[in-house]
Amino acid sequence: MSRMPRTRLPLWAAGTTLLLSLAACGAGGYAQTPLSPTPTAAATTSAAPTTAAPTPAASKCNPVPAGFNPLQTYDPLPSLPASGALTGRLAEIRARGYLIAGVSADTLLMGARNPLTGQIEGFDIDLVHEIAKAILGDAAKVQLVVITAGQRQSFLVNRTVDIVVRNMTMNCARWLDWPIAFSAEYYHSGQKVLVRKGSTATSLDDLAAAKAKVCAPTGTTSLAKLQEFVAKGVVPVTADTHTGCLLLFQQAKVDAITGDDTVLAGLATQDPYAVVPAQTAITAEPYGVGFNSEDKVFVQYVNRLLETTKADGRWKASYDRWLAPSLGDAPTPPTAVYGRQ
Amino acid sequence: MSQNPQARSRGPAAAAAAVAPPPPSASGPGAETVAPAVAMPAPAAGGVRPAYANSAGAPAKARVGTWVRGKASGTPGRMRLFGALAAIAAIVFGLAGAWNLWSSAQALGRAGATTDQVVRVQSIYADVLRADADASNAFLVGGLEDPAQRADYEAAIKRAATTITAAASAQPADGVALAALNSALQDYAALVERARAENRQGLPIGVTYMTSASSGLRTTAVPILEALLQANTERSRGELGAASSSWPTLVAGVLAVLVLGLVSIWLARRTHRYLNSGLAGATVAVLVALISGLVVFSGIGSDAKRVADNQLAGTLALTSARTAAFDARANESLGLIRRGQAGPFETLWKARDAEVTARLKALVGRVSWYGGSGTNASALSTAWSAYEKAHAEVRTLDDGGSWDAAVAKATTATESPRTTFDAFQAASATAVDGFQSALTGDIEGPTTKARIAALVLLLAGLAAAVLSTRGIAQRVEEYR
Repeated sequence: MSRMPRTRLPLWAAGTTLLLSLAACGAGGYAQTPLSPTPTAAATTSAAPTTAAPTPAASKCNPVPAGFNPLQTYDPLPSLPASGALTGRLAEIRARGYLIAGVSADTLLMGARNPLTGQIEGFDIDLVHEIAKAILGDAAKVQLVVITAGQRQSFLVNRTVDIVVRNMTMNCARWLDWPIAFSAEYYHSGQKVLVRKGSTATSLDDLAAAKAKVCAPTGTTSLAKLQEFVAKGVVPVTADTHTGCLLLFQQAKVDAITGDDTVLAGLATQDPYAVVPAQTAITAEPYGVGFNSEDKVFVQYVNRLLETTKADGRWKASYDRWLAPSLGDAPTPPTAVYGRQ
Repeated sequence: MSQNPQARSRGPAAAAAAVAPPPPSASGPGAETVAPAVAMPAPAAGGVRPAYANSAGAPAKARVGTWVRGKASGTPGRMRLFGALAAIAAIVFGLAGAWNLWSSAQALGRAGATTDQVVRVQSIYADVLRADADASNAFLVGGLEDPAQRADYEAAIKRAATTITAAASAQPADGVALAALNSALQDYAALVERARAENRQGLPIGVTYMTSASSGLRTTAVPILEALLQANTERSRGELGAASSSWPTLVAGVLAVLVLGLVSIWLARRTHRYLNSGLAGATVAVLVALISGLVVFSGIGSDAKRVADNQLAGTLALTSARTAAFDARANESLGLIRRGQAGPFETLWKARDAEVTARLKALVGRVSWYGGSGTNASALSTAWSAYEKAHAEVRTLDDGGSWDAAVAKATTATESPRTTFDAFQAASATAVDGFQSALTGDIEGPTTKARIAALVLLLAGLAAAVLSTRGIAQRVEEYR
């Protein structure tokens, strides 16, 4: 009982103590803020817009129809008609005043934005300007639409662009399934691999044996080919564009990149630690200008133009400017195959 | 409690050991205070606390029981009993009311603090998007970026980082989210620097690093910012709601009045005297305190509602308008960077534009609440319209195929989206400050009132207890 006086504190003191401690309890901390809003909140974020590409239904190319040649295109017009005599899509472009072309802005050498000038330039872009010059009389009357590899077909089908000049391989699925049309072949490329400097791998087989992670852009023939090596051990990784693959390569998220030799040459130029070892191309990648399948006359027009540029040295001049430093002297321009009905 | 953990497991038979002197290490001057602590776990094992609380200690219970019966027997005994009841009811009312009002004042303070946090988060949000708009815009023009734009980017990143630190110390519950945000922001800044380095070498991978940084920002940092906004807004609204919750005062007050009244009636019947001044005084004291407490609560309620509906809603509307505006601006640049493919970004721009317009419209009626100081809402709307017009001109150029002209328009320093946007953002920043200080000011009044009322109720409860005890004691004396 000797402690009693201590507990017999004045009533008000006890009350105040109780009051303050209760108030302190009432103040209690909040639950930790979660790392993402609960679904009830109206989302005000701006997700990167995506353009859903329609996927072709059952393929007409499995198996490829007998006698089908993806290089075969429509006969060229006998000569380039005068601007007043243009019809169909060509007349529409003329009336609009500019050509809309789907291109790449990050495939160095073929179609890439030059950060120093802000202009998109390259072997593909030269061809776009030639076409604009032929139709409109001015090489600059072009609206370049930057598209990803996966958007090439759908943008033609939806008529978002007039043409696609973006290292696009002519193949059966694109001709028949989407369907889109191609001009005559304007460049002959082939699929190769890019690896880290010092790597001994020179093919997808070598990379498969090492169970390597290999990057290819979505919606490309390179990726389709890469998928064939999955059974052998390759781990495929995709990105939006080849430059997106280089970004993953630089961040050590992939071990190698596969793609057309022209594209890989452009990537290797940007990174001294990325090399394209001497190797045989595993595929043939004939590049054609892509069109909406209804624009047959437009295709014929461009085929005539291609014949002219291949013959008068404009094709070679463009090759020498962009590709010769990386890929060596200009080969003979690819020979067109005509006769498609 | 941890000094003798074995006591818990030994069971009732060994329970007595728990009250044995503590281990030598605990003896000495501190022993007196340590002993009860050792005994604490024992009740679970049975019979250590004073016997009146326990069925096992029969003799002690009998002693207390006798005392209670002695004191409570007969009419004086009952008087004492009812008197104690009345005093307890009055004290409980005083404590409950005071606690209730004190908590209410605390809640108002926290409502102000969480609103400050909302503003901090919104300012981080706006700075992050502003930095992104600057960085992406720099990639529009060829060559080196504009030094002023680069400086603006650096300032925005620095401000965001500083505000994150301030926000983390202001609200510990946001700590984890802010740490994640900080790391996301560092990743973003690192990618932007990489993009810039590649860009300076003329390599196209620079733009890829930039778009990767922008999309990474929107998938990592933006959801965290949204969560922070949501959590703090809910906290703020919750505190404003809690501040006017008066039921503990009401329940305790009504109970105290009932008890005092019933005791008075009982006493009047017993003693055939209508009025006991002590009890009557106590009842009046409780009644007056209860009514004034409820009046204060109702005042807090209407003040809190006004703050929630005006200053808080206004701050939120304005800060959301600013965030949406910065996002619109970033989408404008991204639309131009993906040249010819502005469609999806323009759709997002339009959505953000509609949000800004709606938020500004909602503000018009509320501007008077901060006394018209600073910029009013219609001036903000005008500033935004100027930007909309400049943006439309850029879009017309780009959609017409003149991408170069559109970029030139977007990056010039006169009547361009850039200058008109800067004007809007400066005006809206002033207005946010206006709302915020109005909110802080409007919360101060009711907070002080609640604190004073809490003390008044506590004193009234105690006074009522004293009065009722005296009143009863007077009657008990008459029985001697």
